[in-house]
Amino acid sequence: MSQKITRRTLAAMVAALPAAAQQTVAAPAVPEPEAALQRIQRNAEQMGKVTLPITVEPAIQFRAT
Amino acid sequence: MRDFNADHFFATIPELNAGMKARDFTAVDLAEAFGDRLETLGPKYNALALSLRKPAIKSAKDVRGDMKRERYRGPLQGIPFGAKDLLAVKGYPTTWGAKPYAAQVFDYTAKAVRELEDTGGLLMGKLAMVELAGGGGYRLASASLQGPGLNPWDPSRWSGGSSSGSAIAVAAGLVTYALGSETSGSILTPSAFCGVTGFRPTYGLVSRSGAMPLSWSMDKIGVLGRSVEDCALVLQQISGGDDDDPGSAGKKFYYAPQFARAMKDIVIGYAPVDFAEWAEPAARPDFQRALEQIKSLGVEVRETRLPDFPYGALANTIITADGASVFEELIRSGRVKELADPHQIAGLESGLEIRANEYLKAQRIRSMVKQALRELFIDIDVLVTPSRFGPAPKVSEPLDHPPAAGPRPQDRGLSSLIPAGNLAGLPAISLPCGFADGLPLGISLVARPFNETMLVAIGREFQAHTDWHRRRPPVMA
Repeated sequence: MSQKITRRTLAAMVAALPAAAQQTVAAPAVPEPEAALQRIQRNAEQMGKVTLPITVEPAIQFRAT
Repeated sequence: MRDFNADHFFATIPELNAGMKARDFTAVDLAEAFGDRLETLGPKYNALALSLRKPAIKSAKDVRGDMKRERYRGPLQGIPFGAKDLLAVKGYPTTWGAKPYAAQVFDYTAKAVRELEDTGGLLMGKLAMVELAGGGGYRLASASLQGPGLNPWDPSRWSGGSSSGSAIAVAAGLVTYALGSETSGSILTPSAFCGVTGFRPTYGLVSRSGAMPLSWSMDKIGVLGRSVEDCALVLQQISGGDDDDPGSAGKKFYYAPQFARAMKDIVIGYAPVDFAEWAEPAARPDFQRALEQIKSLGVEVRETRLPDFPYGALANTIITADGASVFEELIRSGRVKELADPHQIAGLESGLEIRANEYLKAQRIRSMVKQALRELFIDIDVLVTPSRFGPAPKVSEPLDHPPAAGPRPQDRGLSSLIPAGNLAGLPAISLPCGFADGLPLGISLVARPFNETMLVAIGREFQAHTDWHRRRPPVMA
């Protein structure tokens, strides 16, 4: 694919982008920032109920190469 | 240009390939016809991020020349496809569905797209997606640069996300297949809602090089198509090792149905509660029939359930923390506020507040999940459950609205298989399996890592005995 877009074309495309259609849905009961922090807290509480043996390693591994 | 009709737009890869070989039409005819259709209908469904009709026609001319000389490069040669706008295409905007990245242009093309173009595939366009693949969570169907993905079966309903444009484009016959991605549900959900086949490969089977990162240990590139066979043909082409993807498993999938295990030797696990209680009432009859259809294939079935873990909390913690790290600059600069969905903005911002010990705890429990699922798969080859428990919600509804009726079932069954399967990196396939309220339903099969061949075998058998995957939605005027 050799055909490339020019800066001018790109600028025109971006300017023409419609703003994402905003939905008129009911606002959440709790303001979003507060609700997001509450989710993190709930997640931590749920994870805290799991019995985690001390030898279990995280599912992220480092490999020396 | 030849006259094309719905039979062409909804044809499978082998059908189009056979048509080109028989010289009923050429790759250029296909590129022009699909390009026109994608440009005309794509925006009406909010499915099109960027048309690549012109470069596709240019590539199609090369393909036409090759095929004229009988230089065949495989079944995907000359087949029109689309790519989720999370995949880079050199020299063109790659927006990740998000306003802050609307002008982003890369000087390279994603590996999966290159693999398809190298075999003569025609990239017709970039397809719309939920902004940043919904990494911070999202509450609005309109959380996308193109607006809400409209379901071809009923445009008042949502397409599902985050691979929204990919599912719409396949369902409406705008492309023959599309690339999508899944971190937790982003292929299976829109596939089920739009009535197409969706294939999420094992983590590491397909290179993510050139794809937007969201969660390094959970992101997968997959396929949405017209049938299991179509998805398998594409997966065969895009799978394989890649040094540019640190998560690459260095493995390849080969589509070889002749070597599939006999149905009678396959054990399928299911949870009755998924079909009898978790499924929405309107969807239960067709889900039950789909389960009976699977049983009738000759497989052995056993009742089972997922081990007890807080799958949703684990996936949410890992994805939110990873996403906040990936997009830290966006968040700290304040440009995150340009996103369309306040839920997503708050979710990404909150990700910076997750403590290291919580993140590591999630990853340690994930190791236990992996082990527990490995043990579950000792006696069972494949798990089956509804992809989503009901049809697509209305576009006008918030996506976090509570279930319509009744208390949550006591038994978990396999209801958390989307986060569980993604945490363990398992492959899955969603098969169209019926309708509720006139909208498609999907059923998911999930297997051990790198057991794609078994999913393909069962999926092919299922589709040989059903025609849900051949149903066509009414096309929007």
